[in-house]
Amino acid sequence: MKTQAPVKSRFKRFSKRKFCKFCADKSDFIDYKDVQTLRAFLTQRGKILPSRMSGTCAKHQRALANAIQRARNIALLSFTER
Amino acid sequence: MNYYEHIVIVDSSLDEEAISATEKRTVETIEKAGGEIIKVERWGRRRLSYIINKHENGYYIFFVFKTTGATIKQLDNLYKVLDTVFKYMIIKLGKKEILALLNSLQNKKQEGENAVKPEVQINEAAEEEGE
Repeated sequence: MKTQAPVKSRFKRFSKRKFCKFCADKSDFIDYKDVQTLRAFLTQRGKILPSRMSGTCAKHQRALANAIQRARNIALLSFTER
Repeated sequence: MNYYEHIVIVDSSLDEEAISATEKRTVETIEKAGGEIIKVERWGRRRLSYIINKHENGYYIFFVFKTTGATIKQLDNLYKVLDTVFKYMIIKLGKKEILALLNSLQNKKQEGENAVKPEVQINEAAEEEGE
């Protein structure tokens, strides 16, 4: 198997390290009623952002997905935009 | 007994009386079944994120209550008959959510007690200034 040599591009070196927002806040749970925070984890199309893009840890990504689905169920968030 | 959160979306074209009546029906059903209402909040008229049963707007009412599981079935049956409600959701709270809820309730109580005291202090300060 070929191992890829580490890419040393200018952009990669200065890219900010991602972190889980919910771990940093030390929030006990993710509230489905708090639509403003949930909006930050959606794409423009209204899809859930993958954790590799948002930096959310696996535990919180699961909780976040649950919260977003609840908010969608009661029409606080839309299933699709546009 | 479990803790539940409950959101009801009522037809927004109805007047205040009809909305109050719907709220009352829900509260009565829960209390009749031996439950206890902890919180009722009215979020008011909101635009729905997507169209439900040809409704674009809805009046949101939010409940927090404590009952046995059998009550939920009664609520389900109630909303089958009540045509003012076109969407609802009942969620059972987890341990952490219950803790946060109880904490917020306690804080509110303390705030209520504290809120009385500053007024007295202000009055005393005013009197001192007068002297």
